[in-house]
Amino acid sequence: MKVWPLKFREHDHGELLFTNEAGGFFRSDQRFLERYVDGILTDDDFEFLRRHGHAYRDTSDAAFDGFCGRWARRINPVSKLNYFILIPTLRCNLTCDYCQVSRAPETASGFDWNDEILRQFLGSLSKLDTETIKIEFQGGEPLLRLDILEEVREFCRNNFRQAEFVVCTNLQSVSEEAWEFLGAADTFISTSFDGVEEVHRSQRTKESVVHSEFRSNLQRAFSEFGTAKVSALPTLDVHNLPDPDTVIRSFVELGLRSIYLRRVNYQGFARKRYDFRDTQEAWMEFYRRFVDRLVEHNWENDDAVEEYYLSHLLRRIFRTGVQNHVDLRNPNWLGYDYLVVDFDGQYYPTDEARMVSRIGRLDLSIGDVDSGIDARKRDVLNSAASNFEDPDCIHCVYQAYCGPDVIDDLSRYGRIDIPRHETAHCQHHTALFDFAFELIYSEDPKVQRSLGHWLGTPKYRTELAARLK
Amino acid sequence: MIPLRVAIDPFPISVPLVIRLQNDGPSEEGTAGVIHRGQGFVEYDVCGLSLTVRTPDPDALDGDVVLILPGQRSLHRLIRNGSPHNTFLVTEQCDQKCVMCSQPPKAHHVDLFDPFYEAALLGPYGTTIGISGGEPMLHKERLFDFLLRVQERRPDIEFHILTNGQHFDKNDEPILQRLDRARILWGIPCYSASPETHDDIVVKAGAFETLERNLALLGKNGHRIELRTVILNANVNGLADLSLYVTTHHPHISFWAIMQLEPIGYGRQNWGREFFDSSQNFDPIAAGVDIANIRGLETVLYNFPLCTVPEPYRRFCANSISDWKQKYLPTCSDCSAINRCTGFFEWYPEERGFSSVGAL
Amino acid sequence: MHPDDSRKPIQVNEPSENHNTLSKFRLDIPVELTAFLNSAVARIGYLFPTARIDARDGYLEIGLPENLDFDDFRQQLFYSIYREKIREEGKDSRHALNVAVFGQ
Ligand code: SF4
Ligand code: SF4
Repeated sequence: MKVWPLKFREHDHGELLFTNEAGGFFRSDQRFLERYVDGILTDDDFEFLRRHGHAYRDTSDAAFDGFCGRWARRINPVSKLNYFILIPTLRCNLTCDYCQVSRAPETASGFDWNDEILRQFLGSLSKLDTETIKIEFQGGEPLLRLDILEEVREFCRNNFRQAEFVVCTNLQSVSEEAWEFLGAADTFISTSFDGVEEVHRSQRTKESVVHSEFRSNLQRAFSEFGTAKVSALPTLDVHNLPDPDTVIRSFVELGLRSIYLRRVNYQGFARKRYDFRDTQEAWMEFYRRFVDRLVEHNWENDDAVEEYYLSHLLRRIFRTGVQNHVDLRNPNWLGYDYLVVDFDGQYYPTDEARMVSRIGRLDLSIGDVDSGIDARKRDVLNSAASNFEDPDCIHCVYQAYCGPDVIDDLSRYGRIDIPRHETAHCQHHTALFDFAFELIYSEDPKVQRSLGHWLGTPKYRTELAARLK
Repeated sequence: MIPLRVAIDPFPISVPLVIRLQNDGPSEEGTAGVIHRGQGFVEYDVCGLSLTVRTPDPDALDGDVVLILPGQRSLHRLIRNGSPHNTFLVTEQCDQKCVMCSQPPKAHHVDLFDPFYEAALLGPYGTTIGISGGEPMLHKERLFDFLLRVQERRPDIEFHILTNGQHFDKNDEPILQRLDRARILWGIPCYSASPETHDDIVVKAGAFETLERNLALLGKNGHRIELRTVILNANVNGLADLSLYVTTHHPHISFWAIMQLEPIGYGRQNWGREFFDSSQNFDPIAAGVDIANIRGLETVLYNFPLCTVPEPYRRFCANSISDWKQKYLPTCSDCSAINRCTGFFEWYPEERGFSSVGAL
Repeated sequence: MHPDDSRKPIQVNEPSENHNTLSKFRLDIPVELTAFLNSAVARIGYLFPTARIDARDGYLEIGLPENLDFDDFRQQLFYSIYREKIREEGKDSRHALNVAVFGQ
């Protein structure tokens, strides 16, 4: 019997978590680790390991094929370009605290797509080899250029079998024409809502008249279109964290069951001022407290709520083929299946790449609507697209679930070859995966009930939290 | 119950005949139009010959593709127009003798692939054709040939092929690669993760080992598989284990159908010993479903009346019992869920069935 | 300290300052593990930049600043050696995996 290489990490109570490269996992102890390393596993060990997909007799064994299948399904395939994030204008009618770099004043000129860019962009769409398309309008405030939105949408509807649109709007001032635009069945709304009135107001809307306009538009969006069409994302400042219960309550009141807690992604000077290392602990402390409150909420109520990213990590732990979140995939191919098109027609692989480039630290553009993709620049970015060969990740228990974030590394450190454990991405994900596994092995019925909800089944099953005694 | 065979008057043919019956329009090649309607019968024009079908309701046959075998006094409705449940019974031979088999095997075999081929070509656009037996893969050269030929002429047709998975081997790989895999779903039973239990249930030594190998072979060749597990007293307590086993060792399986017993054939003979009353204890099934869900394997519950399943698991129930053998009980007429509920098999023995059934 | 918290940022002391304050330890390495020592030491070296590790014949001489506990350090070092050994011994399986998935 052969054992697939196991990686390990100490978890609570002196237990070790073991994982293999196809994402299988179990907990055991030091004695097992020693038996394994010394090559003196018992028959019971082998029997457990084969049953759980960690060992195989030979390459004709179904356990071997099963492992290969699971491993292969975790690889994110390169897929066709069919998703665009457009910045038709950088102008905005708000001045949110952490958004200095990605906005321009409402009245400024020279921050919008011109006719040439629009024409070139539509021209590039007609060359795509896809039947379906997804367009996300960002900004600035995209509703300031409703005319461009209309034209793009019309073009896509006429040229693709299936087209879907998301408007990322601050819902600050929405004209009747804009409401009509947003009302279409193929068009979705994504807005920012920081979860607590005071926080939202202090970070974004500032003045109470402005804030009440937002509030009434938010209400209108939800009552008119419902949660199937409208989503709201909070952005939280580590130095001004809200009370979890209040956030949960305000989301539930809007009918939302999924809350994606995002931390303010400081750029430029602000990033230096709010160093990641100083805030990581505070953030994780808040995050855990938030999830505790969710667990409590789900125990008391039938309308279960999730933290989106935690559910996503749990799904990536238990399942293969979960590639639906572009921030965590392996390999995380950049500039292939989706592209950001900036107000000046430049292509960027991600929105963060666009912002990093704006502050002039690095140029991460990979072409533009006129000349197309710059394949050479894209290749350079993709040279470290996977964690398969990373000298740290290869020893990490979480490698199968994780994925690299080249842009974040570049934007913070200006390079991609620093030891993983020194990067914000790795520290943050290590902490998140540690937490996820604490939950997976929790014996608390309240936690287990929430896990069932988050994993989409009536009841969580501890058989999946295997232990080798 | 919808009849699958309909009586006809003697009809002078020496080879099997496949035609589509239609109420209107002239008869052209492959079709037969109505020429006369009488009391309890209807006459069709089959290339100038008159075919008399004894039915009080000729409209029900409109658009059906039917098979008439020489010397037989009935026609077979191979593809019933508008029905999602059309199955070609390829053979009655089988190398297993599963304790719940609804079609106990017979030794004799009549090869009907040619008429099946003609019938498939006459089927409506995008129809799904079930292939069943016995064990269809006992005649795998003919079956593969049939599939390839139909796919060449009718790429729109979907196949759902029920096989015990015992008869694939490495030599089949070139053909498996040539078939349009997106339009074939192999329905393959597996009853337990314990080889002994599985072998006992299918009454064939070594069946599990072969099955395990062939599931992997199909997966490697990119074929889609629906795993099918009939629950019995013999295997129900191993369902959680089976769920772990399948999601671990067979990650390419697309769906898992967990099925209640059908009381016909051996299933009827062994009903007393093997019927598991899931209305009394759903736990072992729930465990199997939960584990599969968490691991991302889509599960479906077949043949479970909704009121026998705890509320959180009802969303996994499918309306699976074929229309022609489906029935409801008197209590169902007051039930708000009847439209979503699969009901019961025509031959369901109420007195020996679920202990708790009642309108929702 | 949680023994496996090697991933927490490590306090960096200037080596020149505490050169004299390093406590010295001797660590014997079982002969069957010596083959994996070099890569493990290289890795541990950057996880614990303030520690000094010198390979001697069949043992390691270790210098640790005050804030590092010898037992924890030894644990981490052995983990590192195990990891290298496991990776090395997994080569055949990894190769078989690649052949099965990519045909090479
Ligand atoms: S980035 Fe960090 S957490 Fe992710 S696989 Fe690599 S070492 Fe592990
Ligand atoms: S009462 Fe009849 S229709 Fe209603 S759920 Fe039960 S079996 Fe189905």
